[in-house]
Amino acid sequence: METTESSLIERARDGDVDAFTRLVEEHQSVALRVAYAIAGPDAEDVTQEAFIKAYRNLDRFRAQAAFRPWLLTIVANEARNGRRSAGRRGTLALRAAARRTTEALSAEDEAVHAAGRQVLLDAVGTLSDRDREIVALRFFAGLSEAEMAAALDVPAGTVKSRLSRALARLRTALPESSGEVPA
Amino acid sequence: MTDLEQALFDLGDHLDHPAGDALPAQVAAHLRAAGAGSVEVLRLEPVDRDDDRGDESERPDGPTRRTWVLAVAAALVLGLVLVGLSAFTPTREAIAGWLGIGAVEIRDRPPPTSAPPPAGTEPGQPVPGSVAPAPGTADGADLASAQAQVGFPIALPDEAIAGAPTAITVDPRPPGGLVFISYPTFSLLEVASAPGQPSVIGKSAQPGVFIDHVSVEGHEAIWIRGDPHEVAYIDAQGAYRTDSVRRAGNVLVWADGDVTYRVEGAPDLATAVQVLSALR
Repeated sequence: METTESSLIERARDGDVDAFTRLVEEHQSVALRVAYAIAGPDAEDVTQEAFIKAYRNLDRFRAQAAFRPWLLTIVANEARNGRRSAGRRGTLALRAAARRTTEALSAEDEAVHAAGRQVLLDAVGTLSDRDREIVALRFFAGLSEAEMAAALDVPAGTVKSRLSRALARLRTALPESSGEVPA
Repeated sequence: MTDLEQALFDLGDHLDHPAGDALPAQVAAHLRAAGAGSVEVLRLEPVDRDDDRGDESERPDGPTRRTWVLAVAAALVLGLVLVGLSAFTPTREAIAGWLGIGAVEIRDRPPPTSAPPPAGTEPGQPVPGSVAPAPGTADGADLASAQAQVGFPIALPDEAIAGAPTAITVDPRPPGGLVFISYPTFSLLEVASAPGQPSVIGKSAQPGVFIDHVSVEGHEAIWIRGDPHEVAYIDAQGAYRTDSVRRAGNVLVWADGDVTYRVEGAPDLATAVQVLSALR
């Protein structure tokens, strides 16, 4: 059976929920990251709603277009709506240190790294929603600049300049005592 | 890449992103489940419009290749009463691409409307369902009178949800009867639809009409939305009764047991589902 993304989209458009579920599985990781970057702990609810909206609007998806940027636009909009309706900005949190990296760091080294990450995360938290969003989409969700442009519905050049300014403000927000860059 | 950018990527790898392990199943369940606007879009095969019927359903702005979404039905019984069911069924089955629920049938194109009104029937009666509210308030006597004329228990939505009906009328032409209940903002039609009996109300959709396959209280339902669609009684030849054709807005059609329910005029699916879910 044909299982390319375009065929899954076509089947989903015809009402095949199983086909759409395959698309959810394929894209849920990046969708959750985008939602988390914008809406924080509400990410899972936001992402679920975004996928449902995407399903309902498949008729509007152009067959030759890339699905992921289209989906992430919906996710980003839904996440912003979720953040607004919650009346608060979602707080991002570090994962519990249970999962070690493959570098097999010592507990002490891991703690040092974790502390450094928390410092950086705190600095990110001081940014405006707009700056934090673009930093998070690039580095936390791992979007390319082109994907960010699609998700934010702005030109690629705007993404580049906005990201540059956000990083400059982030550097300013970092405590001097933390050194050049926490790591 | 600067040290700061590397540190941010590393931070992203250590954030507490939700895993979303259950997300695909949750989305699928939601799309299949009843209520809350969960919708499974059902798009039927585009069909070239090859008939040249120049009736009121013709849309001058329609595309050359018409996407005749099937729609229809809310069913009116009238023709069946007069002509007999056996003659109807083969004709209907010969029509490519249709679907139906209970007494309502949905087609990918309008059937011909050449059938004249049968003798002995009152002409010029469109399928009930106009959302124009009737003035006044229906009372218990109206309900009792209607109940005496139909062969199924009339169910009304909880007044706390739907308010009080403004009028209750009966159309005795369908087998088992049909009752039409007006509310200020929507209408509710109930028609007998014993399993195995043909549809009595037909609907057909123009381009711009969409059909969503939904579930209400665990039973299949169809939400017809978008542009107004055509609705009419179906006669025994599977044709629309010319004197019963009208256009309808958003409609939710649902069958529960031997009764088919149709909510017309609700602003959205959630509201229509709420009405049906509140039937008592």
